[in-house]
Amino acid sequence: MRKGTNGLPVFSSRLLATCLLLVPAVLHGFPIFYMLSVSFKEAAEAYKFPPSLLPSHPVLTNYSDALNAAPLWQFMLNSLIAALGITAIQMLTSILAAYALARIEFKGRKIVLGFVVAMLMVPSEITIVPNYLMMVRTGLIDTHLALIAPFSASAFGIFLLYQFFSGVPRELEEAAIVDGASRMRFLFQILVPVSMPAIVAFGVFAFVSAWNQYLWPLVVTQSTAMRTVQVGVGMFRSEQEATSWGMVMAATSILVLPSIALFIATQKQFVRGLVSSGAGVKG
Amino acid sequence: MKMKKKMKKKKKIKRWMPFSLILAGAMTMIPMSACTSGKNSAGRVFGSGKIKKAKAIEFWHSMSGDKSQVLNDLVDDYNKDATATGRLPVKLQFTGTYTDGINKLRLAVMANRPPHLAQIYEIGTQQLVDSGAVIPLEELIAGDSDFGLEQMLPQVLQYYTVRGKLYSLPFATSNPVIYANGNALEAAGMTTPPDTFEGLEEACPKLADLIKGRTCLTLPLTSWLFEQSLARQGALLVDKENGRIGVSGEAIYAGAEGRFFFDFLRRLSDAGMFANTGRSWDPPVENFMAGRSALLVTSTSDVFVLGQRAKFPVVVGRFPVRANLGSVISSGTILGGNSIWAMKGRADGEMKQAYQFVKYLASAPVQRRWHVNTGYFPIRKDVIGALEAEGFYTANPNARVAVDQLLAAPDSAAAKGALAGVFPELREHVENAMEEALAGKDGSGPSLERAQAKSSRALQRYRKLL
Repeated sequence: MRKGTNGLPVFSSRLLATCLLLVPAVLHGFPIFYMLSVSFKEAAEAYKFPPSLLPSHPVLTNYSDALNAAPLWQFMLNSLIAALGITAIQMLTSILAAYALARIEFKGRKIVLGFVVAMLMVPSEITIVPNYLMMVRTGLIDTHLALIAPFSASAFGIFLLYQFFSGVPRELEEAAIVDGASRMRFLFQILVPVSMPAIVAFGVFAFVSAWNQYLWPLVVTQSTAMRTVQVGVGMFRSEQEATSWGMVMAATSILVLPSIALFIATQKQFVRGLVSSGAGVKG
Repeated sequence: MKMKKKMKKKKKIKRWMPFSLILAGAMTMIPMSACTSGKNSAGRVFGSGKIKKAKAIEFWHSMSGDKSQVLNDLVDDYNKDATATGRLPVKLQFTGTYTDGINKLRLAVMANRPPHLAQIYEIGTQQLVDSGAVIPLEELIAGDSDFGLEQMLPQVLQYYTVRGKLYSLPFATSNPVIYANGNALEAAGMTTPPDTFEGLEEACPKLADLIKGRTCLTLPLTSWLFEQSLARQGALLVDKENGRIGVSGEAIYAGAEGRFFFDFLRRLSDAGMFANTGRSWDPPVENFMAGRSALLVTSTSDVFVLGQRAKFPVVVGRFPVRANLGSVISSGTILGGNSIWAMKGRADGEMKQAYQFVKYLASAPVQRRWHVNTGYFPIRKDVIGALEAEGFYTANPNARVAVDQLLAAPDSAAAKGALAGVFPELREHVENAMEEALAGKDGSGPSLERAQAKSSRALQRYRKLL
């Protein structure tokens, strides 16, 4: 019988792994399944106890109600613009900053790096007030730019890529420079392609966290046409009173589609990036 | 001149300082940094902040779900007339939950960009009064004899009247009622839910069906209901007559009256009769709607929705009183909900237009539509009178309960409800105590006293800042 490295038969170790992974998979998958299920239920059935797993009379009215109640497509477009904008800018600034910190010797490098690490501990909520005042002063309130600009740099991104870049052999750069490449050329033609897993992983992370923002978009947008997905969901959810769960779930089902689509499309890189950036940490 | 302006601005920002101490949770640190940064740079950066002429009256609100639709319709109707008569239209802006809404308003005031009108929850009243950033409604009404103030219910106005001045327009007003599952009542041989806490406790074993997994009572563990139970006993939450004759500095709710509600819940809970679903407002409603609890105590604003969606008959009763209270019986419940505030900082001409909209919201036809579509009660006598004459309440006895309850509220400090600048924090302390008392071993007394001490400290801190 074939044996795996740990001495267990390959087949049974796979089975074991599958069983173990099945538990978190079900735990994570169930809410999504139930969200879809409730979104097709009639109002009375949504309250039934014990709850039914599948709707007994599936209806589409929740979806049409949700789409009529608010401009969901507009919300989605706004979220996409903001999230893609933030992701692109953060990727660029993180690559440049991480490269400088990892590879260029300059005075105060350690201090700058220390600041970046310290920034990891500052929750973004704290910066809301100064950011808001800045947006008011520059007249950017209620624009897409206001959703993007305050998030032009990410401490997490810089740190993640710094770790990754530090792990790339220096010889690679020396060879490139001997061949006459400039720093920029080396960075974008060699280092970036080599570091793709980490960059994509960070990109997905940046996208999802930008997509999930609530407080900032709420504060900085004014008109319904500028609202993002998360603020939009808030409009469905009642406070201190009965909520129409079917409609909320229908709206949510529509609104999570882009996140899920993005994750499926980049799943491989995402996982690889997280794994390899972990391996890149030097002891 | 410039200096003066600067000083004024500084003062304004300083007056919002108490705000910074108020919020619990994630927002705690924001107002702090806001105030320091605002203080240093206010004159320089924002002193010249001129607001562009508005093309519409900005109205910030926190109505979501079904109720936002009703509000949208009301505003659409107003806007239809507005263009014809050359008035400014109204632009609605949803600002998230009540807490999000007041936070956003605070930011806007600091940045010198307030909306014309803002809808704020009732417990924000004292903060806004002290902020100096609002125009009291009474000043806007001054000289306009057909606003209809004499038609407004005094029981509603008294909540938002601070030191003799009406500050805001009570808009979505509610009080707590008890919803009963008609089938469970019938099985227990009753037609209406019990109207005393003692009666409720006695009836509970009959109303619950523990074999089927049905508890007797479910309610959100919110301080609002605790405050109501105090009012029902004629007791106060804070000193200075519930903060109505001065700024309170002492919480006084841990007495026998306070313990009464805690102990009531604890006894039911120990007997397995109370479904404790935590502080959120939704789960108890779902519990009740699923037939898992015979009784639900929550806001009257759900009265129509629950009646329509339930698969069983729903019978509504008054929030219970305590039996044998003798001469101190208070049948009052405290107003809940929100009111509409006019903000300073916009052009006078625009505020005149904003006032027209406020007047529209207060008018009889609008109040009537708002009431029959949401379950919040109307603030006008003539609306109640007309609905009564048309037999609306005979057809909808459930909607009548909250109105009766409101009209029965006496003119007492207990029934008026408390005013406190740190109200959100007080609620946090009371709710912590509720959870402790239900789960812990040391009973209601110690947990209430701890909460009271913390609340008093918060009140004193606020008073010092004024």
